[in-house]
Amino acid sequence: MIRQSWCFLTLLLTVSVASAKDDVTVAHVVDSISGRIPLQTVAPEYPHKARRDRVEGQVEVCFEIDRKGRTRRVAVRNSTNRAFEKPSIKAVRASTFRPLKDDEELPLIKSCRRFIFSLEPVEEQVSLVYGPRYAESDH
Amino acid sequence: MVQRLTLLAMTMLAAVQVYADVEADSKTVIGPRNLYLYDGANALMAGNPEEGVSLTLRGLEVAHGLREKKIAHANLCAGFLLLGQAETALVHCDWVLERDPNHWRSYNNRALVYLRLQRFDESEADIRKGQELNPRSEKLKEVKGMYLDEVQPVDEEITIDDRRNKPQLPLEQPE
Repeated sequence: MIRQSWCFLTLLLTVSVASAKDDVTVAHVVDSISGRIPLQTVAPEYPHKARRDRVEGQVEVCFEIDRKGRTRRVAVRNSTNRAFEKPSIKAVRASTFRPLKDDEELPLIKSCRRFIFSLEPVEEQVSLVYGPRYAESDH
Repeated sequence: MVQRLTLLAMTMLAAVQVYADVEADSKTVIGPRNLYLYDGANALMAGNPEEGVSLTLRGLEVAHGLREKKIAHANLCAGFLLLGQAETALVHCDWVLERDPNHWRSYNNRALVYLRLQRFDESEADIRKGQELNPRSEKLKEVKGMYLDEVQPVDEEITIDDRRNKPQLPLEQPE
């Protein structure tokens, strides 16, 4: 019963997430027991080499949130590919949560955020013409 | 477009740079004898394809031996592509590969030329040949990424999951 409630209350948000690029789709999934309320959620950048090599992956990052809503003690808990870890940590460090009021207790439990990096085929028919794809130069 | 061309230039100039370095390291052999070639490579690396091609063509006129000619043609392939003259670039890449079928940098450059000409099958074949010769080349990986972006474009999607009860994450996989 409880599990069903969670599923029902799960929200799929595609707004209020900061992304470095305009052509990246970002979805934010939260549920009713996610804990602290996100204030500024920063999306990680898809690593250039991973995108180039068509690599997808997931990273789970755990962290503490202080009274002011800043993230602390950010660490990777699990990941499918190390290439995604650095941008995930950077994104969590740049994210903030709603500060606690004076009468609110600081939860002792750590928060964990999972980032899923995926590449979806472009559905529409594209013209095979040179255009900007990469922002980074070769090393 | 500018970003794309910048990357293209950087990828192409990677091949040029090596020749310039080789020449810089062995000036007693090539440098004094063919300064046009040396200066042409440097001009290409400095982002001046007009001057680079001009100097390299003069270097080709006075080139001694197959090695100098290969350097000249390989750099002309890069230079003409940077000038937007892909058909001319192709002639120079072909010249090198006809004489040295193991020249992975020319496969790299010719793959870019084919990409510009939208001859995707030939571009893929050159990338494959280049990677057989030099499997760890980052340059070839970049070109392959550009090729894939043309034939199989993808959009990046990032999901941020804050749910307390998330599905199990697969075990860590090696890179």
